[in-house]
Amino acid sequence: MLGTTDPFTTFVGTLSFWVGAVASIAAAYLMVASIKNLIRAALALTTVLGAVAMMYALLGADFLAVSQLAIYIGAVMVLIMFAIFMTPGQIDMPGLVGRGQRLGALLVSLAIGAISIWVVIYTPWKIRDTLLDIPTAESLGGLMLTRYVLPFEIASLLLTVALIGAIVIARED
Amino acid sequence: MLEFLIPGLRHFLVLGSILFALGMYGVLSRRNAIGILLSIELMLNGVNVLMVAFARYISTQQELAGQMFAIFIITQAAAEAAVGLAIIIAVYRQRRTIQVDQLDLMKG
Repeated sequence: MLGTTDPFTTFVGTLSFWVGAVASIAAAYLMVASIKNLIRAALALTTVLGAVAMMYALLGADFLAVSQLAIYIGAVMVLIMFAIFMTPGQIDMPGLVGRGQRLGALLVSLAIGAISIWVVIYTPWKIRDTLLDIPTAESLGGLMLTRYVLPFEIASLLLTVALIGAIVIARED
Repeated sequence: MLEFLIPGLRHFLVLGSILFALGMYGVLSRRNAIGILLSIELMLNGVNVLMVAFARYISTQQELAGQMFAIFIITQAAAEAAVGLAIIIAVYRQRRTIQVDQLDLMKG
């Protein structure tokens, strides 16, 4: 069914999927449910982001895996760390809502998770015969300047607006 | 007998769904605004795993569309983190708190 570039034909590829999956789910669970300290929660999220980058690499998305490392772990997490440090006195505050709202949140998220897991397992997906070519960076660059040129330009505009907006909002006056 | 251990499309889809649900629990149960932002990043990453898994396994006319979507989601997440953290810092400067249940200025 799948070609020879499938990493899951080898034991090491399969093992790395399970290591990444278990690590990301465990770190995500700790982050949302048990860690009170914000710095530790941010570090747990960094673990999840690294494991997701590993999933991208296993899925043949080499460019995305590197982008994930550079943008999320390199830039966004540093930004979040700075924001945590710039709001002193808030780091160790009990971070969770009361018992009633927590029960509601648990019910809602369990329901959504169960429904979406049920849907993705029982949908008859049309699996392709040949895997994507690796490396993908060249094809992605070509697509970005042809079929997806309008979203690309809008994304540039969005980033400019976000940059200026963030400066204006956070400036002391 | 252990075929279910070999990862396929559904393994990645279930993983992404679990990450999304955990992120949603975090958004609904955290009181700290930065904690909510962290949980939103978790949800976006769960969706991105789904996108890239679809790009890898589903047969479609448009090659790499899923990866393209994932790139735009990453861009949007970076912009959202920048603006969100700027708002949080501005709020902290005014109110000296970022616990969302104490930010009730708009309450009637």
